[in-house]
Amino acid sequence: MWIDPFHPVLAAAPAILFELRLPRGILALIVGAGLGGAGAAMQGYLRNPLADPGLFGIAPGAALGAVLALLTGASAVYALPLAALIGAGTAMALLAQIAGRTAGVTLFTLAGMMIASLAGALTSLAISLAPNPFALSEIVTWLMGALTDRGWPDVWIAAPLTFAGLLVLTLAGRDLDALTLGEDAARSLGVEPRRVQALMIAGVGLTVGAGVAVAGIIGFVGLMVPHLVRRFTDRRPSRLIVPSALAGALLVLVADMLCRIMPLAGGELRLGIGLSLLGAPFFLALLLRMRKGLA
Amino acid sequence: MTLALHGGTVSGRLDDATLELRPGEITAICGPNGAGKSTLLTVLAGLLAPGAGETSLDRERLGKLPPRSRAQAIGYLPQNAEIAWDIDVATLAALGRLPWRTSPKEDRAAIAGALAATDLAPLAHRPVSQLSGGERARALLARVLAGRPRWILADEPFAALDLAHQAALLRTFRALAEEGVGVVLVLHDLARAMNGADRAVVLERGRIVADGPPAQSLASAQLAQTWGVGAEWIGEPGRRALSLL
Repeated sequence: MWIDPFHPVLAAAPAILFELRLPRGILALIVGAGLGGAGAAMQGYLRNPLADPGLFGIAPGAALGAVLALLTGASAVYALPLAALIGAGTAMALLAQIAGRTAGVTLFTLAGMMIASLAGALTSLAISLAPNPFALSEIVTWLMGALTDRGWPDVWIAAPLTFAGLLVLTLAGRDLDALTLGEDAARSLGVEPRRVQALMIAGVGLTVGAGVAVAGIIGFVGLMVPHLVRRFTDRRPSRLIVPSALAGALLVLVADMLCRIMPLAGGELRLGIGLSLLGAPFFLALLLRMRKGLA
Repeated sequence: MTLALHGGTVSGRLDDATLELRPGEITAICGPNGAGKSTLLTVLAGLLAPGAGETSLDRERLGKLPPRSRAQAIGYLPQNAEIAWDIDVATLAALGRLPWRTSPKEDRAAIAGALAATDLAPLAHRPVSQLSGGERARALLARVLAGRPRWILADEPFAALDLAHQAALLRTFRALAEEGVGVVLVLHDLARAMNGADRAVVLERGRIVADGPPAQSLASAQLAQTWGVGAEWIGEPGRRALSLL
């Protein structure tokens, strides 16, 4: 519904504006900033432009927590986001356990992917155990990711965690720059692999965990945004984190507004679906361009 | 001002290696494939802690030194170094300043010096993807030089260079050595070691089997024993070439 803030014709207009639209818009900015910043740091850490913040298994961990909350019917406003944060925290703790044992990036990332697939399998198991079709539909819809009907409590959860996470990621900036030269050269420049791992786990965990907790799984932002922004920077990973956060915020805000006004039978287009519809062709085009570059 | 390794042992790769490096010298590490040359270099650089024995810098254990202090003192150039992002040459060289927390002015001076020493000043703003193999190798060296380390440890730095740039690079190393920098090079090219180094260390299956002036440690008898080739040095000192028999 279009509301002119200066000439409201509806009695409920202020409520719609300040209790629904405003928190939703702010939430889109926060979630997008977290995903964009985490994606930039992740690509820097893995020295790979195809890396995505989902690779560490933190998003699937958070999703598992949220699904369990939905399954048990926890209905308090904070219950679902909190369960998602616990899920993200568990994935982070597992990662930290592994990080203490292997300092190499490849093995660490493979371990993260195993956590992701384990959490994914457990989520599927939980879905298959849904007691009735309504619970099932609720879970599946939630997993698609959306910002519909979110309020200020979600903002209060996501904002501090996301900003803390982004701060932690910027602390890793110099280390990520050094990693441009590979792990050995980075260590010869004084980088401590354990420290970088810890910063990455905490930073990605906070941003992505908070994002999933309030919005569900929203893909492709962390992958796409750093690509769009990289050409405007000097291509150092440290210089990419903040611009990616800003661009991610803008992308999710615009995407969410488009989803909201998209005419679709039975409600609106889910944000997660919309972004994936946008993201998958983008990713394909990227792969084709990279192949041309390599040939 | 010494970098030393005492009884360095890395299971299966390095066996009881003892070596004291001196500043102002170019030391070549030579040996057949798989002899442990790169392992020895990473142990000396403090990147690999030996299973037994210890590396020390100015008589302090390298493992106990804060990583940044170690990084300020020792510059390490790996073989086939990667550059993950398409940064430009000056940005690449600037990475060498990461261990330091110095003023931007000092950083700029160090970077400019490194680019000048590697003949790259005109290419400062060229992205690394548009460099030739030789330019790329020099840019990676510029990164090490920008950190102004007291020790430079390089693994096969001549591998991708044409003859003219090999000669220029050797002159750069010589100039650094004359300023008091200790230069350690893993070299495959024995003639390069013979003519360019002050000292050659020969490794064979993880053990140091010869260590001294190249004319001694790379003598024909040593080549026969370690590499299993019959060869003799021809030509005059400083321009020696290896003639296989």
